[in-house]
Amino acid sequence: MFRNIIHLHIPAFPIEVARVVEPRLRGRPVAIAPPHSHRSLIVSVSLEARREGIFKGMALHQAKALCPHLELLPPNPELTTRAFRALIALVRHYTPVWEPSRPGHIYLDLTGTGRLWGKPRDAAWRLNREIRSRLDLQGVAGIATNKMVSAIASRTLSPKQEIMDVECGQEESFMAPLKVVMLPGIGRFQLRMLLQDLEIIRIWQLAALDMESLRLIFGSRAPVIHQRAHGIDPTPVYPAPSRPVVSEEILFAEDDNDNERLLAALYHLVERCARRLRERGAYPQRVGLLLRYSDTMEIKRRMRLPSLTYWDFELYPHLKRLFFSACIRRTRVRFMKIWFWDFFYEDNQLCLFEQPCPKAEKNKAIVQALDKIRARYGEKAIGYAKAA
Amino acid sequence: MEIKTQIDKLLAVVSKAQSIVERRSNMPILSAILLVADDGGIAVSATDLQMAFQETIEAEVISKGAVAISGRKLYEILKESGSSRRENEEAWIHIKGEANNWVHISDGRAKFRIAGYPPEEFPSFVEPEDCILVRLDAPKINEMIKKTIYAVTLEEAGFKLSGLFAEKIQKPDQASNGDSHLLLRMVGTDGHRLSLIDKEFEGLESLELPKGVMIPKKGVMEISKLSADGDVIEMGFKQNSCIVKKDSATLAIRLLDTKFPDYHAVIPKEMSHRAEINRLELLHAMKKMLILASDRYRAVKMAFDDSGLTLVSTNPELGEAEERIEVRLPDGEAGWSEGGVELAFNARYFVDVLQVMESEDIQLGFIDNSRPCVITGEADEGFLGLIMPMRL
Repeated sequence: MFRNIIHLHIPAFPIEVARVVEPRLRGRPVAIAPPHSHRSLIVSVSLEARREGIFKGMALHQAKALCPHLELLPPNPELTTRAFRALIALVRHYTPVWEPSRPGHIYLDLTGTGRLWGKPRDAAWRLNREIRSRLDLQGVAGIATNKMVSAIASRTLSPKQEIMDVECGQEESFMAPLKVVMLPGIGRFQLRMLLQDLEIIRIWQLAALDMESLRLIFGSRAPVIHQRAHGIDPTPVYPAPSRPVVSEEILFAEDDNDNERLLAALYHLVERCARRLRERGAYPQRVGLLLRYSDTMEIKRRMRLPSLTYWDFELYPHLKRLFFSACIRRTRVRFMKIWFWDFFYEDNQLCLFEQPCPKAEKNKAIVQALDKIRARYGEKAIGYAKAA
Repeated sequence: MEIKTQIDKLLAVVSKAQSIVERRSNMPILSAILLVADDGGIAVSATDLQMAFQETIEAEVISKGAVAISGRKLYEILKESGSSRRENEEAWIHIKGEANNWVHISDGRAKFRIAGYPPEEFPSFVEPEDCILVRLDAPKINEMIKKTIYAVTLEEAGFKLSGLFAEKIQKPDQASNGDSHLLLRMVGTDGHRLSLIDKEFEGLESLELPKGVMIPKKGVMEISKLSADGDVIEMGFKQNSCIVKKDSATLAIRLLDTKFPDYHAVIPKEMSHRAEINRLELLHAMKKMLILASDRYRAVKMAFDDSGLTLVSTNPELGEAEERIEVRLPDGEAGWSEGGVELAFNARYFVDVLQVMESEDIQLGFIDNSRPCVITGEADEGFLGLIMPMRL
């Protein structure tokens, strides 16, 4: 059975979301880059800015030299996440099988929904209309029988086009004239080898190579590249994971690389998570920490907790260790997120051999008192000085 | 090496040995069983480095030597060869070691050529010297293990409790003044429940067990298997090892060097309430309550009042279950206080303890809903089970 996959894509998603909040930005060249340093790199570019020669990854000072009236915005992950959640809430009515790949990009598997939504092209058109009317965002959609071709199709659209439908059986002929750089899974080194040494520019040239030749370039990944060059991608649309997670994040008002201040923020995040864990009676078994630096580089660390606990003072040492394993650069930190998952729920079973530890008991009593005060007077009513 | 022996005899030994071999070890040799052919027959050995087993059986030794072969595969070959023979047919197995550690096995019909391991790599079986072995009643040992092992966990619940605690205790004789008699005590716990049993043995004073020892759960299971058939086993402790012998089989177990918690402190001395219940009635009722239990909702509420005991299991995701059981008050026991007594327990813990007990009627003793419930039975002499309640 042929699949009907739609790759829904909002070009320059963070900028489009910022334009919804600030309509004066519409029609102007806009870019998103971390502030405070002229050496920081552009992370998102609007179509107008692209026409001025600005591209993603360009240094900020170069972009300003090219386009002096460029509107620069700082990254706002909270707003982007909120907008993406709203987008997901809208698309999930169309199919139960959808996969968010990254902010502004969603795969929808519409296989078998023909009687409900009609042809995939009609469903995509209806979806785009709904996104425009309800979220004030302009989406584009690539339709194909697999994820890879649908994603590539959504990237080949001209600014005035909304939908690219690659019909079943046309995948290879659609891919053939495209540049090899469009094909996923080709690294920088391999691309240079293809373009410079072998003069392979188009995908049809790559598809014409036999497996032995591909193996010389791509090694063990040759069969996958061979499939992709012929427009074949058996990867399923993975439904979004529904595992329960307790997470907290902070976007620093100013990027910071002072460990003391970063650890204070970390303690505050741990406190907030731990309080939610206690309310749920859930002991996390795993924890993760993400640091995003000024230059948008992210470092993620995860660990399994050695003991079951939901007390701040017992969780914090593990997070502190994770922090020091992730905070290994001199660059300033912009964003920090912690999350707990894989829960074990307390079952109220009493223990025969309680080992009372006076210090831990005292700390637990303090935390419980803080919880009571916060429940009555609000989150900011009281806190540890070290988390201030 | 080349031998010929009866399948049944070898299968009986290999089935004991193959439960010891390590299946997921990063040392491949530990998944093997060592067969050493000598004048006296063949010695079958297995080890996981924490425990070692060796047993000698009679065999026709054609040439001396040793082979090490996958325990699991040898067991499967012997099992299938034994079951495929005709009735009253005497089945023999022929094992021959070949060059490069290949082993040739034949049962007269099927032939196997299996890649073995270098026998010289097999860890040597070292039995502690001067270990005094005491002859103990095997059924009694088996009963002690059966009645305590259920409470032992493989998980670490705060303390390292993955073993059975054994010690010698002096118990005052109730019949005579000042006299006391020596008992062997075994205690198992997982931190939520505890099982304890005392038994008297002849010759116990010779057993070198000055302090208590912790025998790992896997080792206890093997002792139980050895003592399951037969009247007597020999047991001794030396150099952090426990040695158990029965006929030509020897089991050496490395003891756990962790401290067992102070279990005396958690055994209640006085009870506020006592109740006498038919064991099987309570067991079946608890099993019914378990039907609705899940990982998140394990508690069964036990409400005692003058008219009996009501068991209630509630699972918001599934529904509710309720059963009433008749309860008798022991002689001299005052009735239940106004409104009765309500406690909650994990039904699984009750099922485990009631299944191993033998008494027709059992006695439950409580203090309050924060201290353990004590379970005893007249026919279960020396046995005591403790279960901690759950918060209501």
